[in-house]
Amino acid sequence: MIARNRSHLASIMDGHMNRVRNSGPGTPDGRNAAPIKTYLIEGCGPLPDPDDVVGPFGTLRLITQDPVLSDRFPVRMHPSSDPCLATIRGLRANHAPISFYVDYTDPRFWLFYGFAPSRIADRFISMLVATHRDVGRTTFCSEFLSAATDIGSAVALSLDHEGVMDEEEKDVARVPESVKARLWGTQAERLTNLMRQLGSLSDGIALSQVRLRHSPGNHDSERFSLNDVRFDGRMITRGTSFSAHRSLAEALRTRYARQVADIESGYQVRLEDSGGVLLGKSLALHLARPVRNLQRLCERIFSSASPFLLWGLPVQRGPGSVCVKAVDLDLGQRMDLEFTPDFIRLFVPKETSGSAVLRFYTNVQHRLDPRVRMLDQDENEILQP
Amino acid sequence: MKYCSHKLSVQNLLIGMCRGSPGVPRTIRRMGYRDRWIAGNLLGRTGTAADPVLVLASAQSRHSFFVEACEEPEMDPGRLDRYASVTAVDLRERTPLSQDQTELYGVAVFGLEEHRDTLRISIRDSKLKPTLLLRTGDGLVIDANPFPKVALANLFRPVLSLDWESAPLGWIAYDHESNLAEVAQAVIPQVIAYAAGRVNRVKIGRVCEDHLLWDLSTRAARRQMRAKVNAALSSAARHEFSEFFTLRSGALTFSGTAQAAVRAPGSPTLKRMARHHAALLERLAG
Repeated sequence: MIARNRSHLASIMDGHMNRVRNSGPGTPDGRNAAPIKTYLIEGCGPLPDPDDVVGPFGTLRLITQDPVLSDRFPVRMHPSSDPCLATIRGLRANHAPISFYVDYTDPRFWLFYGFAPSRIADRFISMLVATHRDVGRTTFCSEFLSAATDIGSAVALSLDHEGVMDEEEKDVARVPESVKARLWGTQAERLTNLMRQLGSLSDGIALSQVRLRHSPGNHDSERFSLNDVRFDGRMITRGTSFSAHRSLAEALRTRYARQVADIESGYQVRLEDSGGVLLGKSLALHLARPVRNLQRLCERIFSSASPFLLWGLPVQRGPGSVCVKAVDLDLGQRMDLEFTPDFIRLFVPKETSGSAVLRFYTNVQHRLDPRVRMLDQDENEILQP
Repeated sequence: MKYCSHKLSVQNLLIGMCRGSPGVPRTIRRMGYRDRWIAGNLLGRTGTAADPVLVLASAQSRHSFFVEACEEPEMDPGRLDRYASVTAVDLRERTPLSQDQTELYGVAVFGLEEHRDTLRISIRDSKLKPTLLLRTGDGLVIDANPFPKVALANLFRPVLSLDWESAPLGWIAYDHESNLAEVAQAVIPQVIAYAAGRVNRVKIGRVCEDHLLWDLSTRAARRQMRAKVNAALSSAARHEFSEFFTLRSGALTFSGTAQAAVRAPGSPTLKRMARHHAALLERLAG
């Protein structure tokens, strides 16, 4: 269905949330009514061209007209009467079309709302963002998810970690080190903090998902949304009110945009316009557990594959140092990294988005060291939980 | 050090020390020293203008020093002489340095330990009496004409301990004096980023303009840098990267293979590209 405006979108989504609530085996809607998926997408880079008159709608139209995307997943774009809302319809042979509703009120960070099954929605979004420079997915680090609990009430938390990035090749037969857990209840956060203090788990947990109940303005209202906010920038939502979900998604978008802006203004390396002053501070990831095999770790990170999506040639400078001039394939941007067993230095060029830094950090939390900390030049935490 | 000249090692180290990079001493930062860059044409006459010069300046210590890195056995006296005519007024009026930072100023030459004797002779003949610091396997030592600020000089006595292999290199990746391997190490990822950004054709001039210090460089330095970027990319296009891009009329055009590869993260072609990059650097490094 094509959204004519925001209130029409709310009515479409409210109707769908109602179907999800009533779905299940033996119900008229069957058991396959998928919950709402929302993706926070970066829609342009940190330095939009002042002469660029294309704007978000034009960029979206360019994406939908991309020949490679059209071959795999023909799409059409439909404007609405609201200047910052459009519908993108993906057509699939022998299948019902899928729809995404794009809110680009923030010209840089767009919200994609849809209700296709996860596998199809993920594939569609991945292909969509792969077609255009500076358009990419976002990620939410543990600190961000933890802080999100002050927007809605946390009713569940998921934790995970797969520490396999720096294992020796010969260790592949060994069962990889991993932890997954889900805690339910309004006291889940307290339990998580307790688990983090336990020595046996101190190496192995990162916050991967937080379930937030959100009911703006009235916590006892029956109009609410139940949102699983995941570290990969995706939200899965059930409940009774789309506007409750939208207000949460917009609040998270605002916070994310601020986090990205802080990284860019503080850490992008650039020359001041008047000349002579190099701007941009030192940014480092300090590891709680020293890396066992730097070369192996770098080969895996810079294989260009998901989740890091980084291409680069690791150059060994010595037994305890590897440097890589990397390309973020998601956004088409550069980033220089220097690895030692104890820390990773990051150098962020002026045209590189803070999102690329946050994605790298989030992936390090989940794949290498959940206790990694992002510190500034004076060893203060850059991201506050 | 692989694909990194002495000059860039010193520059990146000093920037890292001023900016609190992990893994390097922070004492210089705590003494208030910050890196400042001065456009080449501000410190010399047209035609003989200096190249961009790094200055470490501290209002707290009321002192600045110009950094000269010398990989050769001898220091070219002309390079030192160009500072002779620079006055405190020039520095305050024509550069970003403040009055406090220029109360005392001088030149520091960072050379290699194996050239100690010849460098001593070079600087002995200079009217400027520059401070001579030598790079050793363990760090940096002060060898002649100590800094007038005793606390700063004492930092290098008996040695400022450093692990050169893990010192930062990411602030300035290459410059107009870099060798081709150093240039290629930086510009190949740069052009791959253009391809990943769905740009099919990129001019060499654009690649050069992305360089952090391009705007501060003299015309001669820009010409040199452009020639080196062109040579590195041209060599790559003729050999290791021939299936990925061509270079004609000052512009680089990506092949269909390259364009398809950057849209397929994890593809074997991207892995092959990384291997070709390694081979290119090995060949250019000789």
